[in-house]
Amino acid sequence: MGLILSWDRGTILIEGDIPTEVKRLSFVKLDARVGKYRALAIYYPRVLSVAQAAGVSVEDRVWSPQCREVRAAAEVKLRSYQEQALVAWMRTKRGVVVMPTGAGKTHVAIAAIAKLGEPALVVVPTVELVEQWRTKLTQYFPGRVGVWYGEEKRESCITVITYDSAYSAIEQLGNRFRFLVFDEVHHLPSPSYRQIAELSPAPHRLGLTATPERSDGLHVDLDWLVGPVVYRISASEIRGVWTADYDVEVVKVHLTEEERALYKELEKKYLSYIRSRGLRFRSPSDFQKLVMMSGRDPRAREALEAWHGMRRLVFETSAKVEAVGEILARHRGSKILIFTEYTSLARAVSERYLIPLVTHDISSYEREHIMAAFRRGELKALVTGKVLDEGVDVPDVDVVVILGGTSSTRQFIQRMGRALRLKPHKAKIYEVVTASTREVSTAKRRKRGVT
Amino acid sequence: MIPLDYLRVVKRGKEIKPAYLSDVSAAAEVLEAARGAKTLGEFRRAVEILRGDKKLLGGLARLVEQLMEVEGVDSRLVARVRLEVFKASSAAGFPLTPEEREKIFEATAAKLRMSVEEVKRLFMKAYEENRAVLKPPEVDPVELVRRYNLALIQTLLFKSLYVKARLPNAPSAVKNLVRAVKGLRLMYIAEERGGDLEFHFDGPASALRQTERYGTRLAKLVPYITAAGRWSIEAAVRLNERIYTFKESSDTAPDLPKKPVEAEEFDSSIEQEFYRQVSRVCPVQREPEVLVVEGRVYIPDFKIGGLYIEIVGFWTPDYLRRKYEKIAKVGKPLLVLVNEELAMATWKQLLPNVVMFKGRPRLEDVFKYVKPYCRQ
Repeated sequence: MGLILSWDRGTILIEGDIPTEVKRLSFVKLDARVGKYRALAIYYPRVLSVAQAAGVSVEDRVWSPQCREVRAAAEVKLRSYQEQALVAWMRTKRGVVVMPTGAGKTHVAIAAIAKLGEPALVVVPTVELVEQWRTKLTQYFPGRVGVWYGEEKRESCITVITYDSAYSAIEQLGNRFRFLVFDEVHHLPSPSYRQIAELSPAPHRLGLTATPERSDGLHVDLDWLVGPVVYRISASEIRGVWTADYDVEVVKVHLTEEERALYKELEKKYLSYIRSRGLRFRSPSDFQKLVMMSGRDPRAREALEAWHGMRRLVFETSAKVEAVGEILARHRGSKILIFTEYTSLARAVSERYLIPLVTHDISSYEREHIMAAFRRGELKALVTGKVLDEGVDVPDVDVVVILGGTSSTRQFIQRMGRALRLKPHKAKIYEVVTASTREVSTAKRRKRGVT
Repeated sequence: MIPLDYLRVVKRGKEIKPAYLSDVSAAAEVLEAARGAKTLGEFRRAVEILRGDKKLLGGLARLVEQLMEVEGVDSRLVARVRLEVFKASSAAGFPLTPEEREKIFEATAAKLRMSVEEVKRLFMKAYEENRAVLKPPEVDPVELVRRYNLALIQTLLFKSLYVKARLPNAPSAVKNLVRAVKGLRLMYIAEERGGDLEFHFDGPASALRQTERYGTRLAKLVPYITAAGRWSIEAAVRLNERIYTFKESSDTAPDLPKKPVEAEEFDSSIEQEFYRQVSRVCPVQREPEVLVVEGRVYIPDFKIGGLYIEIVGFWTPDYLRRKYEKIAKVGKPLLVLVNEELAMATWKQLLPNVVMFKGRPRLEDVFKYVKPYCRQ
């Protein structure tokens, strides 16, 4: 009867005539609960090739494909570097393609799906990106695109899903798709999201990102979860040719008298504790120490609360809301995208100037319609928290306003990227920073090596 | 259940337990805040200024929000009104003064044929905090504390690698528990021990690595276990890269909600009909004890003397095949009634104690099998 492979909720069950070569694989274990051998689904291609090399016949019951084949209704036209990326990836049909925001990563993936012709699961970070991928995929694969998130769960030949939904649904969906596409693949190595890759048997995998590196170093795991980097092109290589040129202006605002006094007080409390303990912060993990200490030491907790208080003050000062008014007045008729760190500031801006708001507390129905109207140009401005940091394609944004953000260069590049789609004129980027506070150095750090 | 951020625990060496609540004063304060609040936002702010353990108050507040009745909002209507406001605002180049802002609302109201107040009211309903509290929760502080303590156990299990449970062999409880395990796509192994049943719950990948993947689902089993009256639970919990043991039982646990998990007495009308017919001539025990066959649980429908009876209704061929494998291994007197249209050929060939029925089982079909066990 040969070797029988079957699918069981994210794992592969191995029965029948099992060659010793397969039993000896370190990741294959006998599961006493069912009296059968078992492996994580990611190892399916390995088990299969080892069994075939051992010369046993294999009865493969793993797949229950969503559809037989996928065919593009229109030719996918690629730019020269996109074509190179596709060719590099097709060699092993695994791996990560690194391209700056605005360079058209999506088209590389669409071309790969068309070329492979297999049912594909496209994993993306946000609901906005689900919509965007659905729209683009539908142009090439009409009637064969489904989405799976929150309220809407409709599977199809090509299914677009959020990381969160894929984490829980992979046990159901895993054996239906032979091809996995991970948009913004730097999210994947986190302890929970990586399970999407581990519990899928898909032999073909493509990761897309502008910056695969993670501060926790986990990006090294992308090699086995998706495959190594097969193609990389930097922003400077295509700036001005394929993406717009830009110009960054720093706008300084001042805390009010009252805010200023409160800031000084909090800063004193925070610094005196830090100094008394001789703490130094060189990386995010050092800061983690303070967080850990706050669990035991009430003074550490106070210091941490003071730090959060300072952060809120500089990010949320009413002066920033005022600054938005000035920028709006200067750019009437332009398409403007405003980013904040905290939802509360985004709300304040939205309520004051009646600018549409895209944050997590707004219903996905409303968000969808806002995004569509913004794309069509019926809405000229939009304010958001972190929801739109990544990948969402909002064509012809002329002005990006950054009201608050972390010192992360990745976030800065991504937010900037919203204005970098090719256009005839220069894009304008405003960074609104609270003067004489820590935010000044934060803003400097995030631009390191970018502008 | 409450989010992990609100979990409070006590650790002693490798043992971990929830920091159970015994004092009702915090629960009373949070309930009081809910009674005085007109909106969700008011409730949240009222809780925020309460003095005391923030995690405790936050956890209680979460439960209270789940228990109170909040105004339902037509989110599509709200979205449509807001879109109109935003479009008018965008067309006018966004208002920079309060007067300009007011004009946008007036123009939108005119377009939608609504009052300005109504437009403004709906505009603000997009935020959850602005929703009205229609009815505060109808629980007293003591009951809230019970629910809180149960929620703490469940939340602790979010990070569990596996859960073991021991409970009496009472079919109604076991039936619901096993059904829940299947519905949640988990796995179990059962063992009989001194009249009790011992379960080990985890998921498919647990055989390959220690994983918290199934934790949130394992947590959902807790109410089914504690509903048994006499029970014990043991779990391995991974918190901050360390693995702790959690042990709890009906003897040591604080008071938990009394609400029993609903059990259906009969699966279908066919069984009810059969029971009605047979019980006229013979004493029939409904829902007899559960049988354990190689780690799986087998739940017969009836027992007459020492004879177990099961009626196999409609199900998929795969289900019937697995059921058959189980039945073949029971090793106890067992009578199986199978719907003729659904039975596989092997059922008829291999088992002498299988009775086929058409439509519904009739007394005359089964009486000769039942008679020897029937002690009137």
